[in-house]
Amino acid sequence: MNNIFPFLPIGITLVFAIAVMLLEVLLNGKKQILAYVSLLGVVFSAITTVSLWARQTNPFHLSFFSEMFIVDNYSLFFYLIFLLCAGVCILTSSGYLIRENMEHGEYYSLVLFAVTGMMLMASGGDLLILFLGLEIMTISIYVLVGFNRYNIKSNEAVLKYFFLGAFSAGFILYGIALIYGACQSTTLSQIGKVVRAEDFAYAPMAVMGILLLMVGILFKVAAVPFHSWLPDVYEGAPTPVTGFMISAVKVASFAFFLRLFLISFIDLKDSWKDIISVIAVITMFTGNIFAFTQTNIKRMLAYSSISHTGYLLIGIASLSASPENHVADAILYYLLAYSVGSIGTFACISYLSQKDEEYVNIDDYAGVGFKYPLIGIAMSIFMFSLIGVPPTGGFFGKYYLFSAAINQGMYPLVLIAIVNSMMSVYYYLRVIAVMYFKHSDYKVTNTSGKMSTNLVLVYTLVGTIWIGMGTFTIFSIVPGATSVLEWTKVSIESLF
Amino acid sequence: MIDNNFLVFIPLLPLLGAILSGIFAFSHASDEEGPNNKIISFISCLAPAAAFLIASLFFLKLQSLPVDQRVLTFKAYEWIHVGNLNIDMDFLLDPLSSMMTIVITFIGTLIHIYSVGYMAKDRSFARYFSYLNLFTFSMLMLVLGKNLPIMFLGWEGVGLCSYLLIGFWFTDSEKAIAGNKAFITNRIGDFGFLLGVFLLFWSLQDANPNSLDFVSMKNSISLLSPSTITAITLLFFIGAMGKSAQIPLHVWLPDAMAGPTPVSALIHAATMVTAGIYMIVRLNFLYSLSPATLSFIETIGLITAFFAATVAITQSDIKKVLAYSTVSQLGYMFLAAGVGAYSAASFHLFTHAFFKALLFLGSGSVIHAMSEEQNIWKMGGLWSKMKITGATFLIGTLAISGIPPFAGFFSKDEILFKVWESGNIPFYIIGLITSGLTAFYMFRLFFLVFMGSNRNDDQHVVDHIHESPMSMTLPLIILAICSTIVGFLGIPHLNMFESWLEPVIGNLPKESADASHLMEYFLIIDTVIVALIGISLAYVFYIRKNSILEKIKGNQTLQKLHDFSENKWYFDELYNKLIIKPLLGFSDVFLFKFIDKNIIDGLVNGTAKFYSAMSYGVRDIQSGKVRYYAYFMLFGIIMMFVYTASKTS
Repeated sequence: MNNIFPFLPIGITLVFAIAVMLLEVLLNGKKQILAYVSLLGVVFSAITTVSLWARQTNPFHLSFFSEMFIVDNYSLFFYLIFLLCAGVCILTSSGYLIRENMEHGEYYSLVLFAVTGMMLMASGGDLLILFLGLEIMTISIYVLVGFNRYNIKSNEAVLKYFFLGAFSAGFILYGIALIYGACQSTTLSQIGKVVRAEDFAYAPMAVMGILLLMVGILFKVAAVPFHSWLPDVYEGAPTPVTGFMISAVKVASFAFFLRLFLISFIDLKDSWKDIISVIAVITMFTGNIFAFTQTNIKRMLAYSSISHTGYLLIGIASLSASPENHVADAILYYLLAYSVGSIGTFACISYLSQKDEEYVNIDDYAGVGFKYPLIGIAMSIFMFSLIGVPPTGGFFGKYYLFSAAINQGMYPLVLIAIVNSMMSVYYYLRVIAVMYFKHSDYKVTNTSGKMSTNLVLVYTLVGTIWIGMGTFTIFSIVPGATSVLEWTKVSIESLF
Repeated sequence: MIDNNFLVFIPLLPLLGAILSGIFAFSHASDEEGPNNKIISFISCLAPAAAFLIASLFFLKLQSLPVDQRVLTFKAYEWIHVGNLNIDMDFLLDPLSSMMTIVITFIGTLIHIYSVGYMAKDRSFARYFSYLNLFTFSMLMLVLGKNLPIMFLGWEGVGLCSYLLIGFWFTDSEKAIAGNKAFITNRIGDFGFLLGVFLLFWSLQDANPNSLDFVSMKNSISLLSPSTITAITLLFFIGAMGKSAQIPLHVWLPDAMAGPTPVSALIHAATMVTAGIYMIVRLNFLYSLSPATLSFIETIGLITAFFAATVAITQSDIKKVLAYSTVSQLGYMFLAAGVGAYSAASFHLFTHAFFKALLFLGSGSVIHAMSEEQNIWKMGGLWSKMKITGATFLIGTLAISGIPPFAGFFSKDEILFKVWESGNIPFYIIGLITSGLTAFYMFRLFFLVFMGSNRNDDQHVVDHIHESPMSMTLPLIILAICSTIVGFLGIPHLNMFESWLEPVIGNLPKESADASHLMEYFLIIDTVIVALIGISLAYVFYIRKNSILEKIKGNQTLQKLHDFSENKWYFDELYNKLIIKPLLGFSDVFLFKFIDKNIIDGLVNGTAKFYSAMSYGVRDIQSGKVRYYAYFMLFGIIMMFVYTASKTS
């Protein structure tokens, strides 16, 4: 039992993914039930994840199959984010799929497969496993993006994503090959050791490998200039899938990124630090400037997610070998706050959009704040979190990230990031302004079930505020409230 | 015995009450009916009553401890820990704060009960009680705080609540403006207070830890130079001037009458205005080191006492008379503090709380009976119709005039004695005259309202005069009893009050020879005689028919003096001309039309326009064609390699 337990979270997700696919064949008509089955899978998987965390003395680090598969606090932390996003995605999807007439069981199964891939990305201790996880996730996402077969935008999105994704996968593989050539290993810790050695002779080759690998990952996290697929794909994909991509997929890519660069390449930091810094600056500016004039809220959020990638890249650029400086845990914290906020936003959008994705322009939201008070409040708080207004999680995410970067001496980068945060206020607040200050004939109506709407919104809302408030020492009276910060710290400690 | 943890409940309960009634008020905001008054009055009267109970238990506990150990503290949680600045949510109960909590919660509870009757027909019943509880909470925080920041929290809290309550009927623009006036005037004082806190923090930066709490401040006081102490104490005193309505920041208090009458009672008696005195007594170890500040306080106190008494003589609004009497009495307290008689100041604060609450609540009862009429020239002869209100009001009037054996006599006498003892004879004489004026204007008020015949033209109103309901008269009776007896706590030479406060204030020089005993008895008789003269003058003027009054009205100089007093020495007009008008002009022409409209708006809108334009300019890059996207990627990769290659070669 003890041996199998660390595999349970990923195993359960996989089993449920297959089970949902099989059930789809057996069931006639009642597809709704598949949503609940997959939700059950998510919940079970989450329970095992939590109990796995609780059973061990933290931080812990278990590795299997000669370090190919690693279960540590770091991976469990990410498991929970993925499962949270998947749960919200499934809950919002059930109403959405009925409305768009595309209720097919493989949808849920693909979501679960994607989660499996992401878990491999968070757990992989070997470049090949990481790549495997990336591909499992990406292929499931390709299908999900193009799930609305009769929608031309959806088709366009999946084709673009697929072409460019294949392009970038090639870079990753070339990178892996070069690194293997230079280091004679694909195991992360082994690569780290070789690179660290005084007599490492193949540094240029390794650096080339790193650069190629980096291109692939930067494509996944949508850093400029590898970002151009993102707005088109986010706009064309079914809204719950966009929500899933903007949160879970991005977080998974960062999980990959962070582990790889912390364990293997940290000693070659000089070779990639400048490039990442420059890309971070370009990414922040591009994301924010483009977001300014978007009228479609999905596109606007797509660009804003690019700018968030830029902020996170500052964290990557200021990484260093010792966990004491808390850059890496700040990134984890930021990712958690960002993913909860953005998936909540997309839940709101999918509730408000109409058949065939109508009414996803910002101006359509006039008066929503009064017609649907809960959605209005939730949306406003998510926007505040994405801007970074206290006491939401987004504020503390930015605060920890920027202060950690400042401790590493990255003053110019942080200054640019702050200027960019200020710019972002404009387009985020516009959503709130339209919802509350513009009156109209209420074009939008919420077509989803009230239960699931409220469940999802309350869930993500509480999450957003709790992630923020939990860091106040005042609330240490509430059990477990300060733990978000503790969790990120433990997670990073478990890596080494 | 009661555990220290319960200390936190004294402020917490009113806060909970405020939140609960606030929720009621908020959730029923759009209803015609409003929430259930019974539940709200129950909750919000229970909160201060329970706090009073706890405060009394703590008082008993404090009393059972040896004199030198009478300090209870409780740390609720850590608040701000930055660098060597450690500020915690710390509560401190010592004899001084114990006395204050009891006064606040006791009188607060009575005012709450009274309000149930007074506000019964108001639609915003729940909102009113929410504010009232919040007020009590803030004041309790102010007196229970163990360090300056928490005190400041309460300090600002009462400022806010006074604004909310004075402008309670905000649909009437005059009342809303009165609320603004109170708030703005208080802000001026608070600014001084804040500067004081900053200066203190800055000059104590070597103390470790720098927690700004009163106990550690006392120990690190040697780090301060005498001139710094003078600066700090002066700045704090500016804060006190705002809160406790001393010249020149007194202008808000008379206008604060715009709020519901029980609020005036709360502001004037137990809370808010006493904050300044409390602060000075709390920081007496600082003030005692700065003779310059003390003499400044003494002067301001005396001028205020005298000025307010002269204004009160001619006012025709019942509440305005009482308001100026408060200003005047506060002046007395500062006078006492200024000569270093902190105990006398606190004692006057203590007795004043009872009789001023009594007088205000009594006036509320009168106004209620007179169908909201406040002009005393339209009243008269109420004695026969309102026996309870009349009798209790008389007790209050006697108390404030300093007639033995009522409470005000003991405390005011002590203050005057201390001033005499300090050797400042002119100050003593002016104080004495003020005391006579006090007796005069208070009895003028009493005679005009309760004696003679009714002068109201509206027969309907006159017929309607009635005694107030039980929930209003009961607090009056209780307060009247208190106003009669609390003075005995401070009988000269047996002064229980002074010995109770001794751990906080420290040992005052023991009374010297018997000669001063004799002197003291002489002075007592002195003050009583002056008060009696004031009363008889009022009797002659207003009861024995007004032939003298008519003569005064004929005399030109006297008439001018009368106008001068009635217009409150033209303070408002002066401020309007000297400060408000130029300020408004400056902010309208320069700040608004030039700086804000052109520069700031231009900057803000310009930035937004700039980025929008940029955004429009670049948006075509996102062409939607996959091959361009791939080119971008390729370009990026090439640039990366070029950079790396150029760096290594």
